[in-house]
Amino acid sequence: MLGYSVRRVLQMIPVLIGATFIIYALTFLMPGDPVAALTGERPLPESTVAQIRRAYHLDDPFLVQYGHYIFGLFRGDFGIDFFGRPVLGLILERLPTTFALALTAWVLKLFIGLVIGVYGGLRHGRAGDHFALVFTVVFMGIPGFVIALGAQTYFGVHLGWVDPAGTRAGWPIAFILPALVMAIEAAAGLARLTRTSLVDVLRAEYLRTARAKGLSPQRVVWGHALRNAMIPVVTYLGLSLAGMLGGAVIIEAIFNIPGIGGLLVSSINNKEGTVVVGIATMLVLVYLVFNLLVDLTYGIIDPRVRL
Amino acid sequence: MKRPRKLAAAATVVLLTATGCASAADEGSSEGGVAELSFMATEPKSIVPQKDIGSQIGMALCANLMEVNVETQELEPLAAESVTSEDAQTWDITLRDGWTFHDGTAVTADSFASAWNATATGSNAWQGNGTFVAFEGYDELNPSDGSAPATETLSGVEVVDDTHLTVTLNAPNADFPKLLSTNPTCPLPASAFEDPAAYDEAPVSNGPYKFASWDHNQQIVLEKWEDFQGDPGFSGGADRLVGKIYTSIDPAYTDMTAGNLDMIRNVPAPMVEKASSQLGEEALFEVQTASKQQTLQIPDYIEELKSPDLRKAISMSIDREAIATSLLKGHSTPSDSLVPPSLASYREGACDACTFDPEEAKKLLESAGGFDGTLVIESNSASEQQLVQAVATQIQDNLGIKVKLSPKLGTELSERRNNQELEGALFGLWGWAYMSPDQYLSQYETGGDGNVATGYSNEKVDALMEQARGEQDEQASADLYAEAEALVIQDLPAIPLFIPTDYGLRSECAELNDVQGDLQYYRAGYAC
Repeated sequence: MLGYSVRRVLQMIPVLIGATFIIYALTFLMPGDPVAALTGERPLPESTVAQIRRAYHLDDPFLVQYGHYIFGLFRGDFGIDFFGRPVLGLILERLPTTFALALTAWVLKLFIGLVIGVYGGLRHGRAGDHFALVFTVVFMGIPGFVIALGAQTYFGVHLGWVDPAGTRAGWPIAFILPALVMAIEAAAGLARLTRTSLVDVLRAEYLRTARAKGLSPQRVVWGHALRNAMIPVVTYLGLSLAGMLGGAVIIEAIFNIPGIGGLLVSSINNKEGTVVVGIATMLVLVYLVFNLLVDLTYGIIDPRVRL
Repeated sequence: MKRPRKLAAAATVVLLTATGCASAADEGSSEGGVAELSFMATEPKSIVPQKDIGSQIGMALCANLMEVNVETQELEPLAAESVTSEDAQTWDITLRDGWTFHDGTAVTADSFASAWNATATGSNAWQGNGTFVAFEGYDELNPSDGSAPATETLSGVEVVDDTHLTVTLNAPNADFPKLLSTNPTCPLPASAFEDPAAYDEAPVSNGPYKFASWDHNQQIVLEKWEDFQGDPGFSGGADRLVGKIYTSIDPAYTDMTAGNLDMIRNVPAPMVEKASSQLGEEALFEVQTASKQQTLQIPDYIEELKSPDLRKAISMSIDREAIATSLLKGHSTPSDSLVPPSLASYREGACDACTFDPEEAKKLLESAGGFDGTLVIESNSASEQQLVQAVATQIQDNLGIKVKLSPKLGTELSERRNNQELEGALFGLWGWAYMSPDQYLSQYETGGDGNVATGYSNEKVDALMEQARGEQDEQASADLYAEAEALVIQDLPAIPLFIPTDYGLRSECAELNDVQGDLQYYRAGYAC
């Protein structure tokens, strides 16, 4: 198990370098001059522009710029933005908010998705299953932002249960509505996966054996069926937590949650490469870590993986 | 005044329906009867006035030498006792005695001089840098070859004693007192230089409101400063101002419909319609002083577009009236001059090629030798694309020439404009930093503010502009500006399009004010 874990950690390094390289290259290729965005309509004097360009290595060729960046990154230096503020500080200021939103949504999704999925799986082919199916199809079909805007208007403005925008009320009050919107949207997929997986397993030979040897229905379902049905579900859950960080961007914009999404959008608009790459690198790191956790969990559930 | 200049307006997205209107101040009063008004803000890069020239928070914090008094609508001395000059080139400034910063330290002539020197130093890269271009000694602080400046002070600024200073300009400019009402000319206390990082987070200034707290990405709170000595016309009615931070105007609007927000400014056109039906007419505040103009700027360096007849043909092929009433639903008026009607130099119908006449347009096009190419119209992709599309369609249909739209990201468009690499006409929005014809017509003066877009140059115009700027008599000066405009219009480097109406949104508690075309949050009255 240890060797397996070390191997997986080492594999992360080339992935991280590759990913930052691609993102850096894309930001570099984006049209526009970041210094031009600094002061609006009245351009800064030539001298100042020259000094800024030098300070940020903007006149260097791409590979040299990337070299400066990755060298700093390995020393834990994410660079500074054009207003001299450390990028790491900007990210850390907002990352907890995005995490709080994504995690809350993830937990809600886990609960909703598993309940509906297991219910549908166990009642396979009966009315309850059909009802669950219709429910999931409807929420998979409606675009997320429509649900978000609808919920915001109804619960935030009409009923006034929560603030429609902002996080001034703090966790959990301010996060419940946006997280629930994200959760319902994503729970549909989870429910479908769980249901299908469970139905497959319930048909398996070894379950017939389990029943035949006289195990109680509860033992059969919880001890045997679910544990095996959960293998694909765990993969999905782990990766979807990382995916939810990305999905939070739209929800953050609608509910005015000061997370990483708003920062990312504004820095892309201003072509602030160091911030864009910093955020993207951070998200890549998070994704890799979750991937690793999923693989390790896999190893626990399914001993064959460790070999 | 103090409006950040923008060639491109912000984009908009449409939201769902909502109703209901209460006031955030209700919450405030339950906490002990504080007259609180909240306004829409975005997370600022800086709240130091010199570093963000359009900052509403900077304006509330700072009492400038000159300011517009809301009650008289006149520019009056505020922190200054007087600002005078014989020749409009050397200015004597006398400060009011006994004025202090929020922390009790005295506001002296040096508070202004040291702030101006720092702002004018190019290597500091403060946004307000360009404000000092007319000051003697600016060039020495901003060497064009990118080397470090040999001096740290503006040679044109001289501190006489604690309450007196003189300013010498490169050339006479009667608008100088107006310049002294803008964010970059605010004073800075000594503490701003001792610990700049701390000052950035919690600025101390001398204005009607003092800084209370900045909860990043959440809100900025300002409190009324009890010791402010200026007239009520320079301040506002709220005891507490809360800048709630939003990532865009849509959630701010939604928050307002839920009764959690009191004031929004620069309301985009599609939201105006929605707001008047959802929030009611009384929630809409129409700014009376028109300060903005949309034009189609035509770079002089594009040979194919150089003919004045061709430009006039393009101008006459646009049915401004139709677009204004249908697409813009009356929230804009057709423009017939290179300046908005609120300025003293405005002459009705100055642009005779601004009337819709497709027949005459076609004749002009013919006499200009026709146009075989494609007219490219560049614009900021975040600006009103529907409007640009409508203008393009009019030109294409009525003139029979090919028109291609080319929307670009703000950063890319600025770069192309500053490097004079535009491929065609530029759809732009212009606004003033203070109310003066110079703020508009400098775009057509060689090397003037905003001139980089068209690169238009005309010796006679330059001479008239210089003369107008030096003229201290307002009427005489306006006549000279009008003369300059008449010359520019013959070449039509920019085609006037529309004068957009500015709107603000308010709750029952907020009484918004038109401060010479600017809607300043901190000047709002409190009505609950």
